[in-house]
Amino acid sequence: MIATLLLVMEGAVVVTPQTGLVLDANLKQIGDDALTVLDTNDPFDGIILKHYVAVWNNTTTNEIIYDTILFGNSSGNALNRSLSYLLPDDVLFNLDFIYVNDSTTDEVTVRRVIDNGEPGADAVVSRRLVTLFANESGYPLSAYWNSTVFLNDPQVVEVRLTLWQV
Amino acid sequence: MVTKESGSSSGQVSIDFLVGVSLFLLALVFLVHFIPGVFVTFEPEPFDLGSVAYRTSVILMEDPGCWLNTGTMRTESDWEDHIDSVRRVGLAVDKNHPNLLSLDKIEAFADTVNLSSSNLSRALVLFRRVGSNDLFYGYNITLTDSSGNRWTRGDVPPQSGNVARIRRIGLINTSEYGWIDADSCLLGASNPAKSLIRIPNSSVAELCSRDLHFNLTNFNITGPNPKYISTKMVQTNISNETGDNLVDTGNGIHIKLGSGTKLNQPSDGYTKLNGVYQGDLNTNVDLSSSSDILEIVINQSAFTRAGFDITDPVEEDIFIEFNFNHIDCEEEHSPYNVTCYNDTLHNVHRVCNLEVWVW
Repeated sequence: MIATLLLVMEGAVVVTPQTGLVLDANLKQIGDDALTVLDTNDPFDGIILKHYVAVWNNTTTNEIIYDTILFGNSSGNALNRSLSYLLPDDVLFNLDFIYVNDSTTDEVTVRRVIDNGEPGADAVVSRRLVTLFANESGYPLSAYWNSTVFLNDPQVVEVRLTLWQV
Repeated sequence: MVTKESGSSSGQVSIDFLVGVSLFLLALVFLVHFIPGVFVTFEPEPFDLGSVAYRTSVILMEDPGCWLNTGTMRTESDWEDHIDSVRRVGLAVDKNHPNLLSLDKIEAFADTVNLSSSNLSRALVLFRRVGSNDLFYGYNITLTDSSGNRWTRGDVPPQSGNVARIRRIGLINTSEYGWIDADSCLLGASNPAKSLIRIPNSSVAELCSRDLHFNLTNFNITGPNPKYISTKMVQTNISNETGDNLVDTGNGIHIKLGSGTKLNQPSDGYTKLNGVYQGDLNTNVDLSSSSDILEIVINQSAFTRAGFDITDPVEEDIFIEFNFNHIDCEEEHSPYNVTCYNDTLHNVHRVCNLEVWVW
């Protein structure tokens, strides 16, 4: 009887739609698109992601301030405003910069740049790499990066965008 | 005497019955296990629609598309100029710039006359081959930009049934606009401020065949009630200036009184302040902040109305004069040093959202 029950249950086909994973994939794609749009190589009417990273001075959260033209305005956190403009209204996000603080010790530093709260259980992450060189033209490095980026040792920063729906 | 009980009331199942029931149960289990597998191939595939929607969004957002050049037997990406031979409809400017879309390709995509629905479905692989037949998916593809423009193809998504949807974010590469840092590039006459922008004769035919957009920002405000006042332009031989149409009264050069054409007709153009329409070019625009963005648009018809020569070869330069109140304009005494419009050109990108529905 037990064997019969076992065989019957194994034989039944149960279709489980994976709608949850589809939603996660869609949200991650939106995050990837937002970082790609910010990184589009036209520095004048849209701020390149690299420039945002370059002017960050290792200060507390919400301190990236840059004169923008189409994205955000000249007061407040321009990167926060740019991402808020791009992402849907029902999506919250945090942004971290992750980099090696000291090349000799390979210490990885994670700094929260934009903090909009604790991510939900269904949060997804999008990433993009930015490389800062010591002799950048057009992207003046902040005092903080100037102390860490050397001519022969460019600084690679991972921009990590954590998104979740509310 | 003890009577032996008969088998029918002994409480024991006969071996024949056991064998029969076991065989029956085995057959039943086999059927229950086998039959669902017969129908698996006919199950609806809700996951497949999500993949189709994603694939369509990737083709549109990240691929420039292609058409088959039957002369060279090679595919090329400028399908928007060869819609009859399109093989794949992509909207990206090129392969190296995903999520950056071409406005020309978008307008060709939205052209229902030249790009039929069936051709579009094939160009976006919105069908599934079953045997020798192609089953086409229902779809709706809608692209909207930050200026409120909307391009859509396909049908209205159904209210019920299996429908997959995906949303993407991108930028539309619209056209080249002039961006002018007012603090450093307004050159001409000061007090009152009359700044000149020069279009060299070699560029007149190309630039004056379309509307000209000027975006001015980073104003240096020098007094109360700063404002834009008016626009004037003149076509002149620069080698004869200052003299014929441009004058230097000591505080810098500007268009001579009585020369040039004042753009005071509604059809000549318009202004916007921080994206908000203000009026025609003869309407004052109050500026409140140095970071205000003043957009000045000179319609192409204004050059015709002014009687300018804009057909190649063009002999004379065009000077455009913006008049301001209490905005700093650096004095310039040589027309050759005036800011050239060509040097201010930058591509303008508009944020856009792409939604793909497939059913």
